[in-house]
Amino acid sequence: MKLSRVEFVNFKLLDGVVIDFSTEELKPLTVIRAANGSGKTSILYGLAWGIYGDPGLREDNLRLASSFQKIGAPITVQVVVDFEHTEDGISTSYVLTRSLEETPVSYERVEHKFKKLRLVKRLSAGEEEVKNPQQKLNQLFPLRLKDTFLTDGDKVQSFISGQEDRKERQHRVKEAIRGLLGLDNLEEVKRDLEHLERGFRKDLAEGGDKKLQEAQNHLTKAEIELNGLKQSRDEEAQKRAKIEDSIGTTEHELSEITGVGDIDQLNKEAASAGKAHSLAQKDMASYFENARAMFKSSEGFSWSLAEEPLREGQKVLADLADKGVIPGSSIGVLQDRLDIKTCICGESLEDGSSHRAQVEALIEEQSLISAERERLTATFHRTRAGLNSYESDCVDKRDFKSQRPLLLAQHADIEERLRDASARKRVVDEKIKLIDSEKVQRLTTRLAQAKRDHTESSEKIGALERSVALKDDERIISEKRFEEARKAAKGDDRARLRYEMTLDLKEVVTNTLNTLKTDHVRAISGLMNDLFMQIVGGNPELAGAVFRGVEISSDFDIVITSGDGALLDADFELNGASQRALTLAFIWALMEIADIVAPRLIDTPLGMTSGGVKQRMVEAISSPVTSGLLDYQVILLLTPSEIRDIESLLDERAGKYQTLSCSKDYPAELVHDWAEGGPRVRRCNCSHREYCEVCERTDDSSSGLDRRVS
Amino acid sequence: MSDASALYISQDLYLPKAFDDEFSDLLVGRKVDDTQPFPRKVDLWWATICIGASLGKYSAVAKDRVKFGTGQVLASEQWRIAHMELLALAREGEEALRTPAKVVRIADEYGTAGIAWITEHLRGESNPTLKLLVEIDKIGDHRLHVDLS
Repeated sequence: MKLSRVEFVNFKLLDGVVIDFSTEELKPLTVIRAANGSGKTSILYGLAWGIYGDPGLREDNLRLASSFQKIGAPITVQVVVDFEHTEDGISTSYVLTRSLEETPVSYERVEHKFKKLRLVKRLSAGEEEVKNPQQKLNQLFPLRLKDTFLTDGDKVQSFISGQEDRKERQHRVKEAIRGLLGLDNLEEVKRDLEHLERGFRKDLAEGGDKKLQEAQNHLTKAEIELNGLKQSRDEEAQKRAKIEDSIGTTEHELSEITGVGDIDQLNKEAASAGKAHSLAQKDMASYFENARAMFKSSEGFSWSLAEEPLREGQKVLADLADKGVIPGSSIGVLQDRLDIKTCICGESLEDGSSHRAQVEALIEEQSLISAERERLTATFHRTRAGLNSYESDCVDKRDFKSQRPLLLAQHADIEERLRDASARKRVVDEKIKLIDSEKVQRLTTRLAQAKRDHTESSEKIGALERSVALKDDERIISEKRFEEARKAAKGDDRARLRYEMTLDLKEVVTNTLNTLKTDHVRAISGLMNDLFMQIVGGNPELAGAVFRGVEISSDFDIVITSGDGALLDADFELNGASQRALTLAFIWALMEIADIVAPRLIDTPLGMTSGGVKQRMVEAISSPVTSGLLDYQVILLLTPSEIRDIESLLDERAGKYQTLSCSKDYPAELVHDWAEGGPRVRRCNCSHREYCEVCERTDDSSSGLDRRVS
Repeated sequence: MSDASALYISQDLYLPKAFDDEFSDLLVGRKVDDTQPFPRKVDLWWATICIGASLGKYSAVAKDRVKFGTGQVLASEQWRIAHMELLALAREGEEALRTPAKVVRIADEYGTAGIAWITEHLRGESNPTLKLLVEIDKIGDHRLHVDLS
């Protein structure tokens, strides 16, 4: 099936966003350009939820709407997916609508109510609602294949790498192959046929002679015992695999401890970091003391903060003094003159002189001026002196404004020292914890026990293998005896026919299974190798080639061989770009060989890739469908930096382009402010070469993009 | 010169009750190792006045207030009286100095604007000293903006 269109209503920040997908065979690629945080991953999750419901998100009751939705306010979330499915050459259109009402009940929790799913088949005669819509969807988009249809590029290499251990990786590869090739279904059919075979065989024996009945009893007993032994062997093998994992983990932990370092040195480092931390804490206390001293109101602090209105007040006083409304400093000046006994005019103001008497009279006259005027005078003088002192502080950088940045710098410095000391202490403490001698002892004991368990388990498996082989021989002999007895016996023809038909059917299914398990897995392996080598640009024949090839081993592990024949570890010896290339090659090969027409949507597929690898990766996964090739659809969610250098290839391969933008990027990155209310994502029809009033980013016009004419 | 403090001795000092309830403990710390920015309530009160005056904003004082000091505080730091008088003169001219109560009321009105600013910037802050040091610098920008407009 192929996706034609999807519409999101209130899914995360996607509200009213419609995406159209290319379904053209010659241009199977749809490009959705979106910067980080512009809704790419929401598209992936929205489609997963739309198609699969909660199981598509791996967790029930996840928040589906925007996290900006108010607590207690219900909102309807809806995803509508239009898709086409072709069966026996007939193409049918479907529309699925999934919706629910979401109410945030706290910052962490939401409640979902009124969950609805509707699937409608579009026929020429009109629409027909599909009964059991989820069942139908599960047939069309099996859940086990979700990660193959909808792939998160950043998790893409989990098939082959990441933090998966080898057993887990093998399991994932095996499950992916089993899922796409339908091995589970076939094995179930085989089991059903075996069950039928036993039933029909029993019927046949009951209608036959004693010899046939005895042979049938022996054969059934041998089969039951053989199955029991096989089951015990498989269980023991699983147990041994777990022991092997435990040995690996314990050895790894021990080797890490060995490389940690000397405990005395670590203790010294811990003490030094602790001391640095205490000193910084002491300085922080001193910073607070300094800050309190600064905020303890003083005349200087007051001037510094409210300089402008205070100066205005002083100007009022100065104007009054200019107009002679306030006496200014005349009383003080006259008093000074009396004290030094000489007048301004030079006359003597000796005690008893007439001039002194005149000045004393003047002082008394001035003193009669209202107390209010006097206060104004006093304020005028006092504040002028305060201002002078403040101005002098400013010159000497002792004022509040000059000291404030110093105090901030002091705080930043202490904070950094505290952080640094804490980080140092944490690192050393972690090392000390690791070197814990008790732990070493414990791990060593655990390792020794695990090795003993491993030997014991291997011996058990060996014994069980031998028993299985012996029992199988017994079963084969019993089967032969039963066949001989069956051929010799006269019995019910109908029962014989049913039995023989079941045997024939079982043989067909067994052969098919064997072909799938061997030939198809080999085919997947071969195609994966071709695609991988095409992407990484490697020619295994050339001297100095980095890779010789990749293959899927008989135990379902992906094995990478280097140019000089060494086996490479996918976790540690393959770079990010090669890991992505390998996983994409695996998924592509799997779908090709499984012959499944399905969308392949990948979020951020080209992260960590550049240059030729990027170009070849897109070339490999977006080839036009020509005759003989499987029809498919590929949807790439790309950031502008992933698009860089592959524009021409996208021109050639893409049938549909769209761009997503998120209003939260305005004004830092987006040029236009088009959002109303909370942040949201908008779609425009711009290709990777264009920009418009919705998606224009601050560097678009300088990066060679064209303004789109609508 | 007359002693202005004698005139102001009967002027009690107040903070709005709601503000005092929410902020005084967060912003005033008397002990040596406290981390609050202001050593006394009078310093907090004075900072609100300076901030309001600096912003050029004032508004009516709250009705529900709590007394935190008497005019005695003013007597011990007379520059406060002088600065309150300058603020009153700047706003209403020499008439404003007729009664000390009016001078203190004008200062408190600036304080109300300063309280609104503190509430806006420091509510919920875990490190009010740092926040105050950072934000207080922006008041000048605001004033400049007003001047230019």
